[in-house]
Amino acid sequence: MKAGIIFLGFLSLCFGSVVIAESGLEGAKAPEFALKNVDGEQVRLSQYLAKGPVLLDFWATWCAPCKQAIPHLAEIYDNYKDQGFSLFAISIDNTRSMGKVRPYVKSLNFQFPVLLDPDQEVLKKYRGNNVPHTVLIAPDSTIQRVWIGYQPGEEKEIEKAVKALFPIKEKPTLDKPVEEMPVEENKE
Amino acid sequence: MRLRAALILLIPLSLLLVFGVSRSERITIQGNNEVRWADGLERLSGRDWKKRYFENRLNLDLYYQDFRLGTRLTSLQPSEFGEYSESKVLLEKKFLEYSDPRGIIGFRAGDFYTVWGRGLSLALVEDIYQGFDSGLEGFLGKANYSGVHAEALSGRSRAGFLGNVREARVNGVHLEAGLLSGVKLGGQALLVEPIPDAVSYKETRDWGGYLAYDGSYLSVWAEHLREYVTGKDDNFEATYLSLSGFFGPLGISLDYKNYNYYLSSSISQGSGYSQTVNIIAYHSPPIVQREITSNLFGKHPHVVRYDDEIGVQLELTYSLDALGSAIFALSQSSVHPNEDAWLPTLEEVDSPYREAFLEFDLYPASAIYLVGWAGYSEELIYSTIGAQGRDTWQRRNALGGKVEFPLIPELMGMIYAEGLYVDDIKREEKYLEALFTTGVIFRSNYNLSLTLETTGQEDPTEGRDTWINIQGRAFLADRHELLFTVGQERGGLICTSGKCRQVFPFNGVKITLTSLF
Repeated sequence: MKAGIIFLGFLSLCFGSVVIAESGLEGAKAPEFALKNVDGEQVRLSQYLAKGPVLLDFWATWCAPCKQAIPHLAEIYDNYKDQGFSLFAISIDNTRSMGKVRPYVKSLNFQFPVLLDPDQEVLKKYRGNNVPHTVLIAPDSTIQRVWIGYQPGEEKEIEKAVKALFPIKEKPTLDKPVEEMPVEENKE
Repeated sequence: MRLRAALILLIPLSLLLVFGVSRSERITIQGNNEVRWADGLERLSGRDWKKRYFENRLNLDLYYQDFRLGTRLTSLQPSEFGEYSESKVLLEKKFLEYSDPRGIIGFRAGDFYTVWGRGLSLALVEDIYQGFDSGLEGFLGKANYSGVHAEALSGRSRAGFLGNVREARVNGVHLEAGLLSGVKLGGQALLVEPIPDAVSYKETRDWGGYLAYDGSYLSVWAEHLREYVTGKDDNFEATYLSLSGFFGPLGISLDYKNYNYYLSSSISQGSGYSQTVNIIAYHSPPIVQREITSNLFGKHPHVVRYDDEIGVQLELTYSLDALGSAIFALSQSSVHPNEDAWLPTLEEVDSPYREAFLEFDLYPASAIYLVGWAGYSEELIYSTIGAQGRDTWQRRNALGGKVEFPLIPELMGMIYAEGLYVDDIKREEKYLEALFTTGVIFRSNYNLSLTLETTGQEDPTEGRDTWINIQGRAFLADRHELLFTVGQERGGLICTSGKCRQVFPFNGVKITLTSLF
């Protein structure tokens, strides 16, 4: 009897969460937040969204897959930063290790904002339970995609999704002047 | 039973209803759902016991303008550990939050968490996987004006992970002011009062403060806490100092701890924690040692003695540019040799612990990722109670590495190998432990791996010296993560953020399904 209840509960909750999930992940409004960076300055999401898309990468100094992913994300940032793209590396290091964040990012010379979320409130706002957790937000504040964890090769998918948020410029031809194409929707 | 089943079925249906209504309003709903299920055998006291748990946590946030209504509906049928051995469905978390768009004021009524400074006086945290939750239920207010940040809180703890000894009312204030460029000063006051009829808890009054500086090449943090405990004629104090410097590709940090917290030894029967695991409920100071290193090395953690420990740690980070990075860490700690001592010793009566760890993260070629590490630790625990003498004395040497490499297009291979040599001086035994994992990763969405772990010394509580399991992961439809483990898992002490829990050997199936919406 008890096993049956558990099984029924399992099925119903899985079904419920899957149905809800299928209906509303993409296009949801990204919750606004303000966090301090490693230099103690306040950084607001909306300030950067005004310039272009923002990729949130939740990580920690003790998280091996996070450290594996960051160089790839830094490369994507280098490729698109001139077009207004921003990368926020949001550390969830708590009091145990938050003192390690600044020396780590300074020595590795991160060129993008590194923010501190020690009580994981912003991670929770973005539906994360663990790190790495990566969220791509379009300039209109809508969430484009979320990646749970990191596996090798995932950076290609992330770059593809970032690229899809930028206008594509066509090569000039004699009979067609240069024009900007409409923003291609991310269909990943 | 029928009521419970009906409630479980009602959860997703009611959410679907709320979700449907909200589609036409300015309310947005976001959240996630996590299901954890296991079925197998757990080994306790030399016997195998049936172990089955089912946990579901549905986190749901409703946003309306600058307000957020948060809830967590939890179903435990039963839970994995500790106090929640009974089946229950409950609205575990609920809060209403307001955030001023200019960032000047904000509040939260209901369940909340916060961290003050480096956590010497207060750090409210939740770790579901460790069964730890020091969050409060009450009111938290925040204000920022002209470089001054203020927080005030009043709430009730329901720290069930410690039995009922930490049922208490907690009130406190925290102020932080930016002074000169890069300099800030903070101060806190905290009062913790026992709930009437709570068992053996003492009223405590905490006063703390810190001074910090963040410059271009230097960071400094100095924090101190003083704790007064009703009926205890003793000084309870904690000090943490941190000095960091950055010189081109080299980052250096030197940390120091001197902890003498009041530690309640009354843990209720049935708690998932034993008395030997030193947990302080509302404080979470830096541990000043490396905690998460490698699989085998991390299975022999040093449990921080918050009521009596001094320690130092030096950590160097070096960038190898595009090739990767290297980290080297040294740490040492002991109990206080005497009341005035401020440095750790290596005298055996002071229970010394020391550790060295070196790790490389490398990208030697396109799509190849390589990690290598070597570690050494030595722990001596000297008992001063009853028959005095060495309880534990071990030296451990670890060497390991992991490589990920492309096999064919869209398929990568992974090999992880680690060896640990243990010299158990107390038991006059020397043995080797090894862990080997190999697996494949397909399209970065699907993983499958096989792990083999062995030890040269059979632990009577485990009943075996070899463990084999298969682990898998699938990331489905860009929003569902399915993790599973089938096979045997070794027991031991697991420490996260200085909070340790004894995990018992398990043989069976574990599944976790996380869905985002």
